[in-house]
Amino acid sequence: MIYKIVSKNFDIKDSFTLEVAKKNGVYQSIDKAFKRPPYQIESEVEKSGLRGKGGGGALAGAKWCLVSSSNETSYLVINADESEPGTFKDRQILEFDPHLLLEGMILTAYAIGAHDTYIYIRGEYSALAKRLNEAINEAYKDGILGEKVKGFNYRVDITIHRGAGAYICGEKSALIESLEGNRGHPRLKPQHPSPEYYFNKPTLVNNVETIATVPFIINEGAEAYRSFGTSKSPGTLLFGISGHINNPGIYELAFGESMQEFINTLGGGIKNGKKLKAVIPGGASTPILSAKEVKVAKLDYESMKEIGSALGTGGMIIMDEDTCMVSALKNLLSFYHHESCGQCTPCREGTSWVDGIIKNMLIGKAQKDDIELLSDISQTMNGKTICVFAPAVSMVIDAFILRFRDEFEAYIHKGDLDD
Amino acid sequence: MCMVEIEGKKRPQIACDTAIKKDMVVNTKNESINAVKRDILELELLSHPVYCAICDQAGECSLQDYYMDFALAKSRRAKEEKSIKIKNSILEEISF
Repeated sequence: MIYKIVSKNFDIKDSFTLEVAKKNGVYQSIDKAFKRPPYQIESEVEKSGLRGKGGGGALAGAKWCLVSSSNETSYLVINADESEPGTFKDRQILEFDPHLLLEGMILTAYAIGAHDTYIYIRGEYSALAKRLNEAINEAYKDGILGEKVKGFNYRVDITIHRGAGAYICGEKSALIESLEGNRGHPRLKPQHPSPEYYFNKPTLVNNVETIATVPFIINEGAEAYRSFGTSKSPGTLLFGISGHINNPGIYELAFGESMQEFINTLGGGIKNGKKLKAVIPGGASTPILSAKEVKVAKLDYESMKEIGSALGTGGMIIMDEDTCMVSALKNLLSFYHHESCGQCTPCREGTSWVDGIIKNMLIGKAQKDDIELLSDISQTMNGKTICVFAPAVSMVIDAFILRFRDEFEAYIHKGDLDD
Repeated sequence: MCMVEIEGKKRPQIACDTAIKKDMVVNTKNESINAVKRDILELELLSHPVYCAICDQAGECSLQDYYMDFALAKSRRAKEEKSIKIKNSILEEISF
């Protein structure tokens, strides 16, 4: 089940130092890549079918094309603002193999014609930013970064920019706003496919794991990457599992495995021998699955969409039979209420309103038509905002009400009895 | 509040950022788009103090105009839950 493409060096002692990284194959792809023209690197990534690993799952090659096809100065930005609840995969790369990320950044910068690159790292990851900084310093000293990458006539410079604790800055246009020095308010997306713009220059924004996969694709070839996973979702993903499970952690699996089997074997089964009740499959913003759907769920983008959920970042949150679903929803809604940036009225007011309704429900003050009200507000939040934060909240609420309606009704009856 | 319905597209679109195309048919006032505007207005007024009697903007206020055009409905949030904060300035201590 486990195929170590990105996590190959995680268990080696001192894998984050340049010396050990080089001994284990890091930076070997650079010599291969710089002997070929940039468009060949891009087309190799396109052929591999690599999909973005930040939760969206869009084809990486197509995204690269939007930036590389322009003649202006372009930039590369790595999105290391990992704030989705339940997701802790990018920090493994930053902690145990930062040089793999730097190698990927050099290859990507060469492919799209960028020289200045940025890593936007989450503010809370201060220790990891320090480690990343040390890795970059080692690389500069060794001549891997700077005016001439490893002696080739191409400049790549990396700057680390630390965030300040906002979940919304993981959204790519809000990230660029924050990088430009403004408030992290997402921008309106144009109707046609277009790249992001950092100070009006085309910019590529990709997730840490996506870029850390590029060295493998250049070293082994696109076909080797396609040999893992399914035809529409090729390759591997660092799946995370946490919650009421015996073996929480990160496991790099090929796409297409059965979720139930993963939970039972590598996951070790539910803690304390309890029964499974629900799984949030891909980080908090994906619709929740009940135990019935988990039995037929497969871990790839298409299968998850078919059963009405989404793969997201692959960070599974396991809930056992003793979990109260209304409390779980309250936990999520407090998070969303706090993290809404406030630009669009439906999101700003909607998240605060639903948070208040669930809070009242939990203290026994539920009103008779609260469930219909929640569904109504969730309708208003969907499709009328600038970014996809509010639609994500709307889908979360809808999924909870659809699959666990009886628990909400129980709170309403309890509220009626107490009056 | 600028949501409009464009024939051929299933969801309502925002008028302020959608480019005009030839032969485009745009509906600005019908049952479904009015319902959308009513819902959004409910959210706009959710945390609004609604002190029209003593507010300077009364009479020249877009919120009042939109309410008369699209809503004329009661809010579904209890009045006690609106967050009404007391102003910081003390009016009586102005000395002349």
